[in-house]
Amino acid sequence: MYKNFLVKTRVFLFVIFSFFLVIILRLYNLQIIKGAYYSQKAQNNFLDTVKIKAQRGNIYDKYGKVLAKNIAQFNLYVNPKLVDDKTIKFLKKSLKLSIQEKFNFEEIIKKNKYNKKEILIKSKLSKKELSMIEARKYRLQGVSIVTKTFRYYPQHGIVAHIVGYINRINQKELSKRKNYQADNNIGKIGVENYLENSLRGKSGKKIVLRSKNKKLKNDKSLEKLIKLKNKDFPPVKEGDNIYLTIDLELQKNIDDIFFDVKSGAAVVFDTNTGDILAMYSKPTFDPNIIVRGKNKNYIKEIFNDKLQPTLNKAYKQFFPGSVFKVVTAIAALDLGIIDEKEKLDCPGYEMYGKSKFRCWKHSGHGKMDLKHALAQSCDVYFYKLAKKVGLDNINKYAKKLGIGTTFTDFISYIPKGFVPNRKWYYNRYGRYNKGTALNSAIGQGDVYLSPFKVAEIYSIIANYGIRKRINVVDKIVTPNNKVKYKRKIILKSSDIPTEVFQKVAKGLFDAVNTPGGTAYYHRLKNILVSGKTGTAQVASKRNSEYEFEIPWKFKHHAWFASFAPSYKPEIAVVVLVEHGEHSSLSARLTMEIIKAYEDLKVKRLQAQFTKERNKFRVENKFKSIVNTDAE
Amino acid sequence: MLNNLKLLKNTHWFLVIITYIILIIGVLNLYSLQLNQGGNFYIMQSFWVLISSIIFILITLIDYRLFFESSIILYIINILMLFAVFLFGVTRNASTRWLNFGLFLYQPSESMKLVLALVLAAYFAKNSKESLGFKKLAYPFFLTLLPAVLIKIQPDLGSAVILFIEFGVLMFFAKIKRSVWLTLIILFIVLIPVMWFFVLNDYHKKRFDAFLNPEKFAKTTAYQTIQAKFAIGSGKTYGKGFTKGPISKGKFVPEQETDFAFSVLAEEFGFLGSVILISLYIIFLFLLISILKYAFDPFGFYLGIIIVSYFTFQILMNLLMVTGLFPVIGVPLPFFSYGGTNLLISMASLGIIMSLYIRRYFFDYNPEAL
Repeated sequence: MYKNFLVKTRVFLFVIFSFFLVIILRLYNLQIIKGAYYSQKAQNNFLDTVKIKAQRGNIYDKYGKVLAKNIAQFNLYVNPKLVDDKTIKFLKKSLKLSIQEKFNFEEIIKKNKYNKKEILIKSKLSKKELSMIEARKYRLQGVSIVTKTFRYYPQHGIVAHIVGYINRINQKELSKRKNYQADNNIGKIGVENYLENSLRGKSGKKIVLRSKNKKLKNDKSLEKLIKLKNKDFPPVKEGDNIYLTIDLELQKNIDDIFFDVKSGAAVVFDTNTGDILAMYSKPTFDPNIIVRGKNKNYIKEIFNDKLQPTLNKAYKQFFPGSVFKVVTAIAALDLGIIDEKEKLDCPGYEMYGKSKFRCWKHSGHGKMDLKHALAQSCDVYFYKLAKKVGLDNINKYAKKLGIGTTFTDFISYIPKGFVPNRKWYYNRYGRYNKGTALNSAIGQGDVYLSPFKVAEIYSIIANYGIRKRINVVDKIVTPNNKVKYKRKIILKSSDIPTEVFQKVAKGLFDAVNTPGGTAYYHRLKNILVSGKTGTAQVASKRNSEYEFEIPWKFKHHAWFASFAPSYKPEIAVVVLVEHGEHSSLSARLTMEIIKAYEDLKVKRLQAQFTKERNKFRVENKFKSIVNTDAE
Repeated sequence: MLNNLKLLKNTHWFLVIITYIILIIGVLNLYSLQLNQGGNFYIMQSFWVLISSIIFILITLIDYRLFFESSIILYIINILMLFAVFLFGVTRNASTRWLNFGLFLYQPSESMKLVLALVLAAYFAKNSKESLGFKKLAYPFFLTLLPAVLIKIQPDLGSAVILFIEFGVLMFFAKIKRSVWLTLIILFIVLIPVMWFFVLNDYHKKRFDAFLNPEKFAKTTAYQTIQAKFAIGSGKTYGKGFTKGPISKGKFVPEQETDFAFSVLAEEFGFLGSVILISLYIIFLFLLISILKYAFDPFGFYLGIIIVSYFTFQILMNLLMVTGLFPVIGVPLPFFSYGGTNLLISMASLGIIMSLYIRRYFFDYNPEAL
């Protein structure tokens, strides 16, 4: 038996020791061979890589008024497993909740007592609530405040078309752009879109301590490690702030002026710098609702509306009508086809082959020179010019005046305007009817221009042939207040002599300031304005049955293109009222805009003077006090 | 009993010293853990060390042969306690194992290990003269099965397995007919798939799966194993130093005070410290086995061998589990892990062995008598 026992014990011992050997070998493997690997991995236990979103830059107007910013919304979450009765009592006291909500709040917490998921108790905490909770943060258990940032456009619809809006990125954009995730936002239209890259900034990564252990938080070696690791990551680059050339006050005034207009656009350029001072499109929409995305009905409505609220009408192309006549005039003058004093007869119509081209004044204007023709917008005069100039020359001069090209700072994807030539007709229709030149000369036929483009042409005229780059961005400022980009005035010559423009400008001046001019009735008392009316036909022939009550969509587009003051132009203003029927409507609106501009200028000057005077007074006072002390 | 006090001078001092070294290391280990993670493990454990030391001395003084007759009473009491756990036990981590005695929590499954050892040893000692067949083995088998099932329900697979290990070890050392062995081997082969489908539940299967592919379950089931590996591995050769193990600081390894206590030591003292602790355990086991030869009756011998085997099993299983060589079944490291009842029973078991050892001169040492 004892022998038996010894043998069995030996077997027993052998088994035990072999197991211990295995364990020791395993420890050798884990600690000595793979020790470095495991300690490396173990470090990651404490560290979390956290993504830090860059704040999108703000957008301001020229004078620093906010057009787009980020607002933070604070939401209160409660962890039902951790929350205690004291905290619940406190929350019930300090949060503004209705009785029903209070009841629900307790019910929810009871129901989810063993659930680790955090529950939203209140969204959009007020400042008072927030400060009350923040102050007691360390005593409250299981309460957390999560911040959510939204893009907010404080001006709502007024600058919606320029500033644009952001929204969730779609599949198409996602495939084109790098560094974007499916839940990122991207600028969809306007400045938000043009300057997406600089507004967005660059999101970064950061390594943080995961554990909430206090001892670990004070551990210096870990702190060092985290610092070292964070060095490898590029820092977060917050989005740049952008100052636009837009004058918000003017834009607001235009919004008021357009009060009774159903659909239209207004563009105001600074002719000296090429800045866009205002660009208004009606009807407009509230980008905030699109950003929040909750009111689905509203979003559906604005995208399906016939008046196209989301479209910037300043970029939309229309027949320019008589506004285009300046191009024909410039072509004729520069080519030397007519002298500005040469008089042509207007009998009320012009025959071309078998077709009869009517002047808007059926009785005819009689004999008139260029100045009067422009002032009274005689169609026949320009038909006659067109015959001599020809379509190709109109096209050539249109190009010289900037049609077909864009010359802007950041604005892109906008229509370039279109004036056809003979080749285009041959390509398109296989034939060219010489009569089309006549139509084109007065801005009908196949000529399409956007209010933006018309304003560009009129600023060129105001500058006597110098084309200036159109700017929408005044400056781009980095978050550290470094000016990264400043608007520059960039000039381009139109290769047309100054005298030509002087002659045309006279006509435009007369249109407003001499009796018989098309806009004479709307002239301003204090400011001399040069301008040109335009009534563009939409339907080529309106049925006689509509003579008294023409449906809205068949009414003429009302244009008015101008610059002011006439002798030293500062601004170019173009107003288009879609289906406004008569150009005098646009002329009235334009004059009101110019008046608003002048008023603002005066107001600002006064404010500046008062400021300087007060400063001067204070200084003097201070000096006198010092002097009396000295005595 | 007071007469027995004189016997204490026969105590195996080396064994006692080794045991207390391990105990002290264990308490210091818990101190480091407590310093980093909070809780009151170290003070509680010190308290339990004191209590169990008293128990150890008392049981050493008691002649172990008293248990020969009274074991069945202890067994019945313990079975009743297991039923009580079933009815009004305390639940922690989804298992109901404890009875609340007001001052402390008592874990009957721990004491069952010792009580079963007593009962089985008594039975096998009674029948030590003959070779046992199936009929004779049915009774001890039933004695093992009943508490094992009760403990498995709690659920506590580790303890239930230990009970069967005790039974198995006794069969290995007792005289048993060859036919029984043959049938058992065949049965074992057949029973493995049955076990897989009926005895182990999804929880254990998942753990087994996690054991085979730890990376797949890195954040769920195998989390514990992987984190333990990180902790042990980052100890490297010499460790990070006492109370300086950041893994222990971060509460990343669950159950680090009980079953995974070894990972704290391995992180702070590295390969060297681990090997020293393991060597202490090897010496401890070797001493226990060497004591067995002083057993002068079959009851003492069988009792000793069971106690040695379940110490061995617990130590090996725990180390294999913590180092990721075996699926995680809840087995604590004796004298080292936090846990009052376990320590109490371990010390009591040691007391029985010591009781056997100090009475070695009662009879002339005659190995042939066995």
